[in-house]
Amino acid sequence: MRPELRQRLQDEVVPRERKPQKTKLVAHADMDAFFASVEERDNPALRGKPVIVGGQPGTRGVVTTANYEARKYGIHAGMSLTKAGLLCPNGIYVRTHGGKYSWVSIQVMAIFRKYSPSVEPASIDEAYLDIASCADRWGGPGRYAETIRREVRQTLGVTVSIGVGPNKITAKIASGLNKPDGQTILPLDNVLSVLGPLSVREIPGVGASTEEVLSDMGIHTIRELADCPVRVMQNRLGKYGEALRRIIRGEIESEITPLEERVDDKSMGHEHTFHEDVQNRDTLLARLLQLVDKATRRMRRDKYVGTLVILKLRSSQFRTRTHQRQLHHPTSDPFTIFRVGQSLLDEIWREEDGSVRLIGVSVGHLFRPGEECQGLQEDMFETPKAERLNGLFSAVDRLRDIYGEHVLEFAGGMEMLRRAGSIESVKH
Amino acid sequence: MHYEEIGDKVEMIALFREGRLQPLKFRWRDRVYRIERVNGEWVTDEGRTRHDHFSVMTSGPDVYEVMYNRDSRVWTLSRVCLVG
Repeated sequence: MRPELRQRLQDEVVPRERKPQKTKLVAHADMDAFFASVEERDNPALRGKPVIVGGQPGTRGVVTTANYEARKYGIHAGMSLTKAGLLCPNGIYVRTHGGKYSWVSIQVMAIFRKYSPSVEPASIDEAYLDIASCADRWGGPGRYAETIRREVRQTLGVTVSIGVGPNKITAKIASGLNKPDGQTILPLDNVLSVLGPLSVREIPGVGASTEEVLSDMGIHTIRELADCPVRVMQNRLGKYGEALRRIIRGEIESEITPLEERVDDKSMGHEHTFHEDVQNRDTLLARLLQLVDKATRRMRRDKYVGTLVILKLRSSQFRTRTHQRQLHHPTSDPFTIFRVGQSLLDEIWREEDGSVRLIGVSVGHLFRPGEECQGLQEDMFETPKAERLNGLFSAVDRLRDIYGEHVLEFAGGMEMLRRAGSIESVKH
Repeated sequence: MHYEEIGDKVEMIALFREGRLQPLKFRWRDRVYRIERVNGEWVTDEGRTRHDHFSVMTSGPDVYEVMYNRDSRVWTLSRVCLVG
């Protein structure tokens, strides 16, 4: 076979490692009040009524989604159900059906992938699409967005709003301008003609503190930000300010990274936002153990071990702290990772520090044993113990594969919850 | 309008066509319900067991959620939303 033909065949048959490409045209697709829309689809009697997904009013927990009718009462995601019940006593309160929303989300993403070579899911209900190479085939970005929206609506019975811009940030702002079931295509040569009059708070990532700095500078709108001299932005907000100005002017392109190409071997972790802020160490530890259990189950499934444990805590005042510790030996052992997480927790938090809103843990510097591991080697003296643990956890994983995740839980976590008074007794 | 969790096994006549499953008619508590509309469908997994869920309506305004367990091949009426 001729060498050039062999090379061509190899190129076609063997997928090459692709690096995320920058694109000049991004669509941000954002499902409209997603969970509530799915509930309305499944129960047409809900349409036109204020629907609040999360649970019954007065119970512990928060609103996960409120439809547009419920938002008129001031209800929004994250609000406690008790407060929602006071604001909208006649609303229809539906419990969250996570499995259902995940399934519909998978179907939605599959539709997006029919229309774009590169789709980056940003969450369960939104995604970025690289449309630079395909929008013209559909008659331009406007027709393209209409076609996707129609297919999602007709196939799945839920609606999506789409924004198109020169980068992710501008596309995301645009997708929010004509909701629900609408679209906004920013003119690429003059994005400020649409975005200019908007408040800087519409820019994703610009929070209260950045807004305050900008306000001190006399900047309230996106146009004022875009027109601000680069040097002034650099002086007050450093590189972030300069980048923000360029992004909002459409001068910076974005990378779209499909899920399957994401470098997910950097770290694996989970985090949990408590329904009510927590000030009890045992409750935090019990949740930490559950999160470690979930993370290490994924690591075992994908045959990873890691050498870095990262703990994240967010206080009720939204102050976020992370601490990390390098391990001497790579591991996926939940007991080791939990012990390190526990020690990190004790480093950065005491009960007198106040209540905690969110806890997260992740394991970083991941690799598969046998792959290059930066000079580290597994602890040979630990091997018999590690083998016993591997045997134990492969049995646990098999049971969970067959009977579901909750068939086995750490007794230690239940004991911690008992001490915290969250459950009354533990059966051994 | 209120939801009632049921969890009763039901007899179902369903159509398997082109890789899709379509519930048509079920018997619950000695009464036959003819499905006139499938509002939505989704799939969940519990361990290895896959469940197909359907939100369906009969001639009235009430909404029924039925579930097919692919392992046991049993249909269950999961819950009812009483609208009328």
